Order: sequence, then C-alpha cells, then structure tokens
Amino acid sequence: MKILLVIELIALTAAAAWKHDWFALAAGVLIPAVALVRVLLAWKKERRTAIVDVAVVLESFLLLWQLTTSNRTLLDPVLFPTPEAVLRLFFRELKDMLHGMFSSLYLLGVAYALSLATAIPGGLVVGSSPRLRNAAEPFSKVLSAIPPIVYIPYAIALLPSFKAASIFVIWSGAFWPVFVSTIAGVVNIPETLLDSARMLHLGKRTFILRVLLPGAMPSILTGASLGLVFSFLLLTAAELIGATEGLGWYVKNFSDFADYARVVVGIIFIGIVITAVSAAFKRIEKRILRYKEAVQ
Amino acid sequence: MIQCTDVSIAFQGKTVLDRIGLEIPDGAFLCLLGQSGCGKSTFLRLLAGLLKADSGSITIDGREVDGPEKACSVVFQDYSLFPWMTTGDNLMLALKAACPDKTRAELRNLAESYLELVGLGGAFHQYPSALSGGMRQRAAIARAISVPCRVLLMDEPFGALDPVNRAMLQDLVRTLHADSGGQRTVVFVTHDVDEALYLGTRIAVFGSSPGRLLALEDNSASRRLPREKLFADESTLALQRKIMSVYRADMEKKLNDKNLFHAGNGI
Repeated sequence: MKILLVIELIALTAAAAWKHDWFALAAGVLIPAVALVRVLLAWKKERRTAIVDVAVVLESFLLLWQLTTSNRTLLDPVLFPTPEAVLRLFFRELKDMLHGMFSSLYLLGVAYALSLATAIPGGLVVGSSPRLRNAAEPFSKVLSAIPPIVYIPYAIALLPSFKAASIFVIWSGAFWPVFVSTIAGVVNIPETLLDSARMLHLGKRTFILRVLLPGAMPSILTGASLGLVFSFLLLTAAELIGATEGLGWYVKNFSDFADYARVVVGIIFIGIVITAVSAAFKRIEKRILRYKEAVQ
Repeated sequence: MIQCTDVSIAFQGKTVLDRIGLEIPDGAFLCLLGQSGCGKSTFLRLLAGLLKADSGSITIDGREVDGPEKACSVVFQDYSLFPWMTTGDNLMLALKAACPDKTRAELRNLAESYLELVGLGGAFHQYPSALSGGMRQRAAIARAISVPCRVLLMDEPFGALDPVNRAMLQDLVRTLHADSGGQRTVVFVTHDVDEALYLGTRIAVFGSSPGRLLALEDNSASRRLPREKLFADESTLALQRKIMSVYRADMEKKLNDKNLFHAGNGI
C-alpha cells in the first residue's frame, strides 16, 4: 500500500510539473503530507494503517478523476468538471454556500429541536405506562412506516410558508425514530433498577429526570442519531422542491442551469457539512454516555 | 415489628407463596434461607411493598404495607445503583429524597461519611462501572443505610461476589447491624446456609413449590462468636445440621416432584 502511495505521488507530481497543474501538485503533495503528519501522531498501529489506506484510496480516486477529465475527449467536460476547476470553484463559492448552510442549518436546528422536544417527553410518558404503550403502538407502527418525503408537496401546499412546510416535514421524519426508541429505552430499563428507584421515594419530577430519562438515554441517542440522518435527507429533499436558498436549493438551482461544476461543488460541501454535524453529534453522545466507558 | 399473617401470592395461576405467617421483632437480623424458586425474593418484595399479596396482610409497626414502603430500604444483588450517576450522586439522590430540608453541602457531607463508613472514602466521584462488584455492593449498602429507615431488606446481595469479598462484606453487614443497637431490622435473603448462620439472629427456612415456611430457628447466640469460633461451636454445628436436613428434604421433594418434569422442560 505504501509503495502504491509513493508511485501515485510521483505520478501526480510529475503530471503537475509537466502541465503546470496546480491542483495535481496540491493533491500530490498535500494529501500525503497530511497523511504523514497524522501517521506520526497516531498511537496505534491499526490506526496508522487505516490512515495510509484512506490516503491511498483518496489519491487513487483523485488520480482517476484527474486522468479521465483532463482528456477532454474521454468524458463530456460539461458533466464532468476537472478536479482543479471544482477546487477553484469551491473556494470562490464558499461564501454563498456558507450562507446557504446557515439557512439550511437554521431550518434543521429548529425542526430537529422540535422533534426532540416532542418525541422524548412523549416517549417517556407513553413508555412508562403499559396501557398508553399498547394504545400508541399501532399508530407509531403505521405512521413511522410512511416515508415523510411523500408529505413534502402536500405540506408545501398546505402550510403558509416554505419554512413552515419544511420544518413540519423534518419534524415528522425525526419524530418517529426518537419517539419509538425512547419508548424502547424506557421499557428496557432493568426492572430491579426501577424497583431501587421506587424504594428511594423520589418525587415524580426527580424520577423522570434522574432515572427514566438517563435510563432510556442510550436508546434515545440511537434514535436521535437516526433522526438526524432523516432530518438531513428531508431537509435537502424539501429544499430541492420548494426553497429559495439553502444547501439542497444550491444543487438544484445550478443543475437547472446545467452548471454541473457548481453541482459537484455543492454536493461535496453538503457532504462536508453533514459529516461535521454527525461528528459533533457523536462527540455529544460520547460525553453523555461517558459513565459507560469507565474501566476498572 | 414486622407482622406477616397468611401471606399468599400466585403468578399466572401458580402459587409462589402459601400462607406465610412470620413475626420479625425489632432489631432482629432475619435470614430467609431456601433454594432458588422458593419465593424468598418474592417475599422480600412483598415486605418492601413492591408487590402486593393476593391474600393475607403484612404490617410494619402496626401499619399495613401498601406500595413502596417508606420504612424499608433495599439492596439487590444487581442494579441497586444507578449506573449513570457517580456513587456520590447516587447517595445524594437518596438523601435528598429522604431529607428535603438539608442543604447540598450537608447532603454531600452525609454521603461522604456513609461512603467512608463502608470503606469507600475515595469513590465519591467514581461511576459504578469503574468499581468492582464488591465495591458496588458497599456503595449500595451505604446508600441503603444513609436514609433513615428502620428495615433493611437485602436480596442475595453477595451472590455474585468472590469468596474474599463476600466474607469481607458479611463482616461489614454484621458489624453495621451490631452497631445499630437494635434500631435497625434486617431481612436478608440467601441460599447459603453458612452465610445465614454467620449473619442471622433468626433463620427462616423456606420450602419450595409452593413456598412455605418450613422452620424458624433462633440463632441469636451466634453474635457472641467471631467467624472462626462460630463454625467450631457445637450448638451452631447442631443448628447447621438441622437446617441442612430440612433444606435437603425440601430439595429431594422437589427432585421427586413428577410435575416438574414435563416433556422437554426438565433438566
């Protein structure tokens, strides 16, 4: 693998020097350099191997991209922009895309917070009563099975603004996984633990906040991370249909103008944003569940 | 005093406890001895008010037990502590519910002193997952005795511990009970005869299917003797033989019970 990386590095650098291709030069030097620094900083051997592997795959992909698009007869240059063009455009478009990102994340944040604020208390109440649980089960089964994407056109027609419509759609997408997993989390709290709590004669508020909620938390977080994925899916889908700004709108808008370089730039940017949000979520999750990882 | 009269309970048509009559005087350390499935844990849950008997009555100091009983605190074999709180927070949560008027600093001091008492002075900020099984049970005991309760219920608390930890915790519980000066009644479920002989001032032997009270023995003399002397003492050994023979007879009865071996259900 390391030999492959070296060969690619030489190939890219040579190509760069030959064609005065700044992109290839950057890719040929920058990626191995970053990989090298990370390898030196990594503690475990598996981690080091993983970093090298990722760098090789990334380099290979870029090399393939570069080779297939630099020859203009091989692929249609309108549909397949060169990596260099995409990189240049990425930085030029960054301001507009960041603006779109804030608009998207605002919608997502409001809708996701709303779904957590409704699904978690609802799930705790329904989960702790067998009667409510049995009553809610058929509804949650049927309603959670409907892909919320089908609500989008109707919600846009029904609700006064695109913002309200997309918030509703995202909420309905994130609500069910969180709701169902909160119920499951409550049901799966060991009975002995609940008996212990009962014998402490805690007040209702304390019982819910310090026993029921943290007891269900591992399951809630699983549902919440699923809900976050759904939220992004629905956000971009809703923006493709009815928005005037935002990340999904950006991609949709420029594909309408057949500006596929900007479409590719938009897709890459969406990937980066979602990865960053997911990583932040994982950190929060780890922090909340830190009590589990203590070792003897 | 805890007074149980004709307590019966059945689960899904199967009688688990059959007309248990038992009197537990204040300050006693009662060990409930019996093989698994004899209903001794069920009986403990009835005393705690976590279950409701189908018939009969349980009173503590003349008051009927109805719902989780304020006079009792419990230690289970597992899952007594909340894993998402540090040991200190576990104690403080219980103390806050028991003494709502105390300030945070007072609660903290109390929690620290009870952890100190069970030999866990340094574990205030530790999560239960960072403690060994023995330390977790120490913390659970600290939480149970930190709240003002007259009855301590323990459901096979040392069943999952290694022999050394088990002996150390038995010593701890015995000392704590002796130090309470008759102020605290303990009901302790176990299937270990020697554990019952070492800890109990009274030993109740339960028989199985359905759970019945087979024998109630006085063992208060045992408290004068330390562990090494106790199991060399003639009267203790005589009591051990007696309890063992009751225990064994019940086990043999269960083995010979044809009803237990339905097709595919047996051993």
